[in-house]
Amino acid sequence: MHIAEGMLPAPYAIGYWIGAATFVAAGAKSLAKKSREIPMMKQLTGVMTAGIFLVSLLPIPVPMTGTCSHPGGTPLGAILLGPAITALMSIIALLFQALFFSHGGLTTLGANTLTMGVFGGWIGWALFWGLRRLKFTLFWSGFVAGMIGDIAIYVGTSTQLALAIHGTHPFGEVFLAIFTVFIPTQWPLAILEGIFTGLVLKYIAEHRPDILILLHVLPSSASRAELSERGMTR
Amino acid sequence: MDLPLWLQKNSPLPTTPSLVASPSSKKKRSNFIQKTLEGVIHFVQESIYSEEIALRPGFLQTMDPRLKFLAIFLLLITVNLLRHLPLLWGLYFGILILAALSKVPSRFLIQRVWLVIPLFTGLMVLPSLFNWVRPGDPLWLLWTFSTPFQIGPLHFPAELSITRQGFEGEVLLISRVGISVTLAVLLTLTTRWNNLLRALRTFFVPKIFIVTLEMTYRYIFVLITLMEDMFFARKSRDAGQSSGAEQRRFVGSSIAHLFGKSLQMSEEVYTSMAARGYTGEIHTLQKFQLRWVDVFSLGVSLMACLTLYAADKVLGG
Repeated sequence: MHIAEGMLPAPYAIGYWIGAATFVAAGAKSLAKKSREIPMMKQLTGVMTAGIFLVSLLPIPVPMTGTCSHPGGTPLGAILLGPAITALMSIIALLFQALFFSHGGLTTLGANTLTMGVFGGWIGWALFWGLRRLKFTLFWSGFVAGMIGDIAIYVGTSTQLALAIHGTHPFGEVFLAIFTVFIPTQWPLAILEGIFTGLVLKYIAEHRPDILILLHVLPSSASRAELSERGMTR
Repeated sequence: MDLPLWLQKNSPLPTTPSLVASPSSKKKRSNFIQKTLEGVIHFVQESIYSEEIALRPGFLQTMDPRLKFLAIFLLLITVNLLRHLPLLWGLYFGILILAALSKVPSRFLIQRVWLVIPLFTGLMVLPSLFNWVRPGDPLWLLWTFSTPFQIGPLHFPAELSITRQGFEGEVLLISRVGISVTLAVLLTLTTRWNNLLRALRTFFVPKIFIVTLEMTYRYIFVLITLMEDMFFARKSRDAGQSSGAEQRRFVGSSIAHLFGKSLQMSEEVYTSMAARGYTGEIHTLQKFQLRWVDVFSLGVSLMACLTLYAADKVLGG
């Protein structure tokens, strides 16, 4: 759910652009810093962004509704590369979507980056690490992070839309109306995003645990022993 | 990257009785492999067609990409500031003339924008059309309930109607969205991707951002080949209708495989770049040539924006 070109009043669009630019600048700084530590970080970020962009092209059949949906991937990006870099990845993926498919837009790029890259990324990242500290497995931590991260994106977009169109009507009521309209399609999507995030993390842990260690998603020595015990290393 | 024509069309429906779906499940026949392949084909075709138009000797194609980006961005901001439909549609007429001068087929441009945008945007702001969300003067009364009612914190009046303010707001919004998208499409159709990226560098966009953008663009085409191969192989083996669970399992494993492959590829690309002397800096040989006609075009664009904004203020409302 991206806000289309021209839907936001200019002052809002500019404000969101400034807000997003701050986070994207922080992401660029973080990427530069991490690149010094991990030399392949730029390539990894580029490939992950391309992967996230392409995953958003894969329609997944949604049970019951009879429709197809696709995951966003920013909670996963935040878990793997950090929430700061996710803002940078999001603005790039959204730019491609706006230019190639007219999904979202250039003037609303700031607003969409804030919801997808910042809300979704940071909330997903915080939940993942919170649950990991509570000893949840990689899959379940990823599942909750992905699902709630997706809902956070949806809440953020509903807030932006309600702020833009509420006029003289109370903001809360307009927000609730928009939120309610999209519940039937967004909840199955959020669950799918959770499954997608959890499964991808599980897959990487099983096939390339060294990547998770390199990205500090798993602690180095302890996790190697843990993975070895579970037969997760190659 | 080309798919045979027979693969670009729907699979024939199964004839084996056990595989034929019941009439009630007609809507479930949509094939997700088909949709994905269509998405991939659409993406590749669009990219190739965009490059083809960007190479034509038109007005916008010959303009300096930096000034073109600036001029179109100014127009985009203006579109979002205008509140009067005649001004917006006047500007749209100007954009169509610009497209014709740039050898961009008008029919293609109009179809690409207006067949989808009104529906999508209209649906997103549909609630604001009604008095229950945005109060105003009733234009069409849809329903009258016996009494006003309340659901949780929401209060609803007894009458449900489409308001004049809601309708006008929706038309203005759809117009703005469509015209803004037209401008963005025109920019991408008349500018080669590499030039657009290099133009961004001049607007204080950090180099690391541009490098990531360039890498992402290249990786998209590499990964899309991989995705096409996976779905092509699956479609070649596809006989009959897969169940929902089978489809989800296949998409799930495809996504995981795609990510696994992405990670492996990033490692390989880094190693090969490092072997060729990559130190983190990207150098290009081409340089942009700024011409007076480009500066003049930017000036005209700026004047048009200021005039339209002033006219909008004079018209008030």
